[in-house]
Amino acid sequence: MAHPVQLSLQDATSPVMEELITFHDHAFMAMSLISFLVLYALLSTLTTKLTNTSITDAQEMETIWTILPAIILILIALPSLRILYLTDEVNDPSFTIKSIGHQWYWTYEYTDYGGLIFNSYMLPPLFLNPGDLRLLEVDNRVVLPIEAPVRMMITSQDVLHSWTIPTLGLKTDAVPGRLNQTVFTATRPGVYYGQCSEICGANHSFMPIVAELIPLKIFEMGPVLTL
Amino acid sequence: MLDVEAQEPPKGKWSTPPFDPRFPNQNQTRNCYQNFLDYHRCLKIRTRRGKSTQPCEYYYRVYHSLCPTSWVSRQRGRRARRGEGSAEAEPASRSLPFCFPGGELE
Repeated sequence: MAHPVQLSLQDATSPVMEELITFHDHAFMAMSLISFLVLYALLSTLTTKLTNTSITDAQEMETIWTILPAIILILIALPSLRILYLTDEVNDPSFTIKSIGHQWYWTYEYTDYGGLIFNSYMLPPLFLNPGDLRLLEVDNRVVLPIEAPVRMMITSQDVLHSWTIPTLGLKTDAVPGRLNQTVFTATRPGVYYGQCSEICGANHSFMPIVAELIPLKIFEMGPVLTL
Repeated sequence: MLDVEAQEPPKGKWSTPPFDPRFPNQNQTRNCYQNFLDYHRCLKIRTRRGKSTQPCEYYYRVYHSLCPTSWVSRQRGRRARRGEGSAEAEPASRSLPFCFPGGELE
C-alpha cells in the first residue's frame, strides 16, 4: 500500500512491475535532464550581456537540435515497447480466478477445482480493527499463490470498473459483457491493496481490492476455516 | 494428435485452461463463449451417435474456469426455456456476447 506523502511508485511485487519502475526511472531521468538543459539555456539567454542583432541562420545548431531529440525519443521508445511486448508474452498460467465488479463491491470466483465464490466489500470505518487501513480493508480478501502465474479474468455485472493493484503493476478495466484477461506472477508474500480505478457511481472510492499472497504450499491446502 | 486420448485432459490434476492461440489477446470473451458452444455441440453430436461424452469434459472444464458463473447460468436458463432441438447452424458473426439478451447460443 502507499504510505503518506508518497511521491514514488510502490515497491514492485512482480517482475513486470520491476520493469515498469526501471522504465519510469529512465524516462524520468531523460525528462529531468532535458528540463534542466532548457531551463539553463533560458536563464543564460535572459541574463547574458552578449548580443548579436544580425543573426541570419544557424544551420549546424538547427541540425543538432532536430537530430538529438529524435535520438532521445528513440531511446525512450525502445524500452517502452520492450515492456509493452513483455506484458503480452505467451505464458502458461497455473491458476485462473475471476473477478467481477459490481456496484460497489467485487465478487471473486475460484472455479478451477471447485466452486468457491464470495463477495468482497469494503469494511466501513466503524468496523475497522486498530491498525487497519481506512477505506482499504475488505471483509474477504482475494487469496492468491506466489511464484506461480495467475490468470485473472475480469468483468463487470453492471457498469465500468477497473481492477487495480499498483504493486503488481496491474490495472485492468472491468467491462460489462467483456472478459478481460491479465496474468501476473507475484514474487513475495504479503497483503497488497488497490482501489477501483474507473468511475462507477457514488461509492466508486469505496470498493477496494485486497490481495493476500501466500506461499504455494499453503495455498494448495485449500480454504481453511478461520474464526 | 487428433484421437480422443490426446484431447482428454492430462492424467493427474486439472490445473487451469491452457493458453489458446486462437485467442491470444486480452479479450477472452470469445474464448469463454467458444468453449461453451463446443461443449454443448460435442455433447449433442456424441449422444446422437451413441458415443461416450467423456472427451467433452475438456470443454466443460475450460468454460467453467473461464466464464463467470452468472453468464453461464443465464444462458443455461435460456437454453432450457427454448428447448434443445435447435438447428446446429450458427450465424457467421455474432456481435453480442451470449450473456446479453439477444446473444443466442444457436
